[in-house]
Amino acid sequence: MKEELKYYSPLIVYFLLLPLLSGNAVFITLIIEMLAIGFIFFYRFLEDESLFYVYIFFSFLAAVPPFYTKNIYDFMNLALLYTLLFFPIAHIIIHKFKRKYGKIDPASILYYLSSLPLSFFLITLLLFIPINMGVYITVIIVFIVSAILYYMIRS
Amino acid sequence: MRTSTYRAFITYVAIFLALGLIFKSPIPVFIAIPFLWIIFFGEFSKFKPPKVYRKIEKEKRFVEGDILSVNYSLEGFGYCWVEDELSTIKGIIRGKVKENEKKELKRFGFLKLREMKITLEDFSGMWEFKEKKKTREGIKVYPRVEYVRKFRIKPRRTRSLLGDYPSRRKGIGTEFTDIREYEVGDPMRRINWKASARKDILMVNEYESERTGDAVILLDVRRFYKGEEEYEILLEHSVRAAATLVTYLSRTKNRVGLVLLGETVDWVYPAYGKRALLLILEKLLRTRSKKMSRVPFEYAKFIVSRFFPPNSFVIVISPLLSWDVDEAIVELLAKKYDVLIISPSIIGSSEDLATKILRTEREVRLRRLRIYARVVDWDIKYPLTKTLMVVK
Repeated sequence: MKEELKYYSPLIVYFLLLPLLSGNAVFITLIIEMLAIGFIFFYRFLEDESLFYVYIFFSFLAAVPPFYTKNIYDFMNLALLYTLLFFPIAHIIIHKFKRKYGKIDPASILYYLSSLPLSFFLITLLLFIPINMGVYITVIIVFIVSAILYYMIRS
Repeated sequence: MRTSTYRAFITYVAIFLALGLIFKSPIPVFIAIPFLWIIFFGEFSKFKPPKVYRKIEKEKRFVEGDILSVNYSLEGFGYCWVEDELSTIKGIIRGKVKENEKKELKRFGFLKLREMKITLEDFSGMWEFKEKKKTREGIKVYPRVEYVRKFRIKPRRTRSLLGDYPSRRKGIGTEFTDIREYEVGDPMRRINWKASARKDILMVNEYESERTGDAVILLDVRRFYKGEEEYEILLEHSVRAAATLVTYLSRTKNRVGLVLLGETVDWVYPAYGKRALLLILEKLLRTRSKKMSRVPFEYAKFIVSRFFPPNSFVIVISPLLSWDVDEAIVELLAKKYDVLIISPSIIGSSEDLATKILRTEREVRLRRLRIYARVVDWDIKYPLTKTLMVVK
């Protein structure tokens, strides 16, 4: 059972979301999830790496329909979207590194999981904050953040 | 080299951006942004090809059951996977790492180390280095030899050189046989003073001359079974028995040769000493065959009668499963070879028809051979040395 959960973990959260959805979103999400389950089934038999990336893609794609009719520019909705993306990304880390190399380095967790808050921050910075400061100030902020990240990675 | 994860992420980004454009929705674009961040991290993460070295105690002679210690030296930065014929190392390396792996050498044979697969992946999973390093190393794992102090088996006929076996001739030796009158030229230390005093003439002791013999091990390990397990049982026991006998005969100063009947016929000419012993043991390492054997026993008989001196002591180690064994052995006996047959019984106690037929055939062969030669029906549950203790 634990082994099954490892494969289906990126999809479980979408199933939990289904009662909250309405209209076509339910069917489209269900179809995408079924496709993902199909590819998981094939992956478990064939053990082909490309199938792994296919079902992971579908688990990312399944996040689109629930938010399609909602205002994605709302902070809460955007935060919820990235919370949902946490599961497939965590699944990639565990499946890719833990299974192949037996261990996960904290650097990998940092690279993969920090991409979500950073994306949230980037979108917030570029789209939601009224650009009273001007485009140049925004570009400088992005540049400084990139430089900090660069030094963080190199160290 | 880029990893498949990198290629998958780039594809995701492209698809999500395309979906965003098609459906005029920012959601797929927002989903694509985290992948861009991971790719960005991957561009700046530390990565360079690793350095991997392996050190094995090559000089040591290994015997079945020994523990082999292998030292790996790895240098790099990231997730590492090193796989070779001995072990698999996986984990995280940061800088220089030394790993010591221990492996039990379960089977005798020549363990070829031909390839080392090295994979190093950076922490972001975007870069990888893959290499198949060709090596030409090998480890010789010799069969386990049962130690035996003294067997009753010995060559019936001896050679002129000094050795360990008492011959019918009198000469230099340790076993006392007789007393005779002193003759000119006899060494003084042989004079039996007590006997001389009794008879009033000089008497000298006579000893059994101790000589060497020629021994040939005829090892029949032809593969008749498709099953790996049965073949391995036959091979293991037969080769161990051959190694034990060769070691014993060589230690007792005999000239020892080998005729090996496996996938093909191979032989070692009879020779003395440690060099000959190692040469034979070396041959025994490479007996394992993957193909079914089609070599008749006749070939082995031909090699023995053509290249080995008559009157040699031929020890046949064979499961007696092929129909041509008994005829060939009878012919060897007719050519005045002294033959001892050691037959490991590997058929098992199963009651199916095929096993019953095989068992009956072997028993018939054993009965026939017992008329002409010394035969040891060796139950492999017991050590060979224990079985040979009772053989005269």
